[in-house]
Amino acid sequence: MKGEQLKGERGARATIIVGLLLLSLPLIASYAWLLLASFGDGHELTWGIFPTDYTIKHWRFLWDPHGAGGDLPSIWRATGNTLFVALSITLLDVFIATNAGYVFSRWHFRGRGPLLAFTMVLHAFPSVTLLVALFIVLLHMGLLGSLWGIVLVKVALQAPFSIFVMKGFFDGVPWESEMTALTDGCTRLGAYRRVILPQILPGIAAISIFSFLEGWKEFLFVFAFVFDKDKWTLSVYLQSILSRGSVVDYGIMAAVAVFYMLPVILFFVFTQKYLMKVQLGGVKG
Amino acid sequence: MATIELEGLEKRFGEVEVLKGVSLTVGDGEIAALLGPSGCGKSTTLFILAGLYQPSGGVVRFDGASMSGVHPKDRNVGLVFQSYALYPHMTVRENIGFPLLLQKVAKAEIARRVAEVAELAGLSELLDRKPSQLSGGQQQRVAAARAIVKRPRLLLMDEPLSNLDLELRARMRREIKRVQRETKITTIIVTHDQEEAMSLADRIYVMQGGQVQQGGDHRALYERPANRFVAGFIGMPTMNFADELAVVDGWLTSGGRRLFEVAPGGELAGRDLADAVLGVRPEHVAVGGEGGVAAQVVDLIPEGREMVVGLALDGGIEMRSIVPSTLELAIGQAVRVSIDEAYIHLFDRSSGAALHHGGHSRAVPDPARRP
Repeated sequence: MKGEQLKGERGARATIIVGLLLLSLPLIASYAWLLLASFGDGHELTWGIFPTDYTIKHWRFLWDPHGAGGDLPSIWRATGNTLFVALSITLLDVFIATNAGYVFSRWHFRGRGPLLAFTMVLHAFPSVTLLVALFIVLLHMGLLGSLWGIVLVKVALQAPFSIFVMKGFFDGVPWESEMTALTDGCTRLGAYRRVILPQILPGIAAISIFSFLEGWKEFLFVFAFVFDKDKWTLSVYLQSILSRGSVVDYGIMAAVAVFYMLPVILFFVFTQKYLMKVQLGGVKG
Repeated sequence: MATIELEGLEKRFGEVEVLKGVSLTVGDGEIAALLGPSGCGKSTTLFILAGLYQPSGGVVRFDGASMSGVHPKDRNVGLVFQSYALYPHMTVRENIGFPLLLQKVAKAEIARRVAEVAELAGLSELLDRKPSQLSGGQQQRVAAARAIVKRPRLLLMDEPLSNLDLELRARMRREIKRVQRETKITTIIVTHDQEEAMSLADRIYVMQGGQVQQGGDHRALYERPANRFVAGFIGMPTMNFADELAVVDGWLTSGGRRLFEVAPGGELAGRDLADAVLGVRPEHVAVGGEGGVAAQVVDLIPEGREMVVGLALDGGIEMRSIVPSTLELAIGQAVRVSIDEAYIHLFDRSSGAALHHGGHSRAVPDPARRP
């Protein structure tokens, strides 16, 4: 009886897995195509996806500064720019969100509720709608064409969500915890650092990951506000390969795309468990 | 260890007046309990003592020195919350050692004192666990151990036992008492449970409406309640009250119904009862016999050794009595009920202040130092 039940369950589970596999096939296929294309030589394909000959020539941009085409800067330069943007956004965002989240969670000042709601509204605007306005703002601030401008704009758009998430995590730390720390001999700041901060680390990890990825994948603002090739990030770099000339070199495009993706995939693999906690903290917000 | 004095303590949160002049004294090495219903201001008083709240008025003194403007960390107070508030990211050892770490005590000394307190609290085997791996009772011990490890002048406990089950509560009570005797730390416990207050405390302050209603030991509170609130709050089952009193034809009546025959020349003779409320403890309402007034049994609640009997006296006055469970009674049964005039209390109808305590009450010297 029990064995049969188990068997039934196993059957159901197998069905689900197969179903999910089929559903994700288009996604898997596109990634597989990208990876294979980056190593494929010529236009001959088996089963429409496997190249007949393999080569690493599309990957020569890794060691040859002009490997992706003479008119493009070195990919390492673009990688450095992307890292700069992503890390700066992360640091600023974490700094702002932890402080603001603490205040929203712990201080009961006048207008706290409306302010929190307003913060969420800020997050709701699609970036495109702000493009012209931001162009003018950056122009007047003298930040047009600078990566710092990109960082500030991205942080401004990202921070509301992060603040909301962090408020949820701070709400999860009981008032008593903080008060006990004070009577145990902590200063207010000491209580924050020694007792509260360790309890909200998963939240910090989560928003770090989110803002890093936001920075890493940013295309629109860099494309619109940065004109100097030396300041390109990988997303714009990749786009330029697609849009130059009349014939697209799919081999190089695929190789650059895979190169662009790799850090994100690695990042996900190592940080998945922190990402899972966001819901837990955010729900209480 | 310290003598604690509160004088005219006031606290307002915006428009709400939570404390309206609380004054009390706790002697060096004593356990005191702040007892009262929720919202009476007892926890607020505790948090002001810890320095977590600033009073809106009044003074807190430790050993005669005003604590005004003294940061919680500099008061040397141990605090145990109802929720325990253990640090989830630290082991039991780190939790207990935390106050010492902040005092920059040497590592070896921390280890020694943590071991000592853990031994006292029966936690020696659990030092490497995280709080989430402990039962409620164990978490409670860790919170208490953390509060006393730095040898505070004052130990504050906010409803320390209310999250525990009945049996564990009784055991923890004995342990708190034992540890307090061994350490002689002045302790203030906030509770809504009179049994807890009576079993733990040398001195109980009954609070209500942001004020101390009465302070004293358990006998004083029970036998000489200062007002109607204390009389009704202390004692289970609660005291019986009756108003609209008058003496008619030698009988004390309430709303025209008879209660008991007034003894000639007794306490009630010649007293103006129009503005008085009668209070009688259930144990002084005797069921059975021949004298007294006719009554009907309307309710029976067995409580093991004893039984609470709900009665309707002389066709309507509701009173409760407590009798041995062996007494054969049934709902609806007609019985005779006698109230002993010697044990009655009288309270002022409008102010609630006690006017008279009868019987044995007078035999007890009043140890209560009214603040």
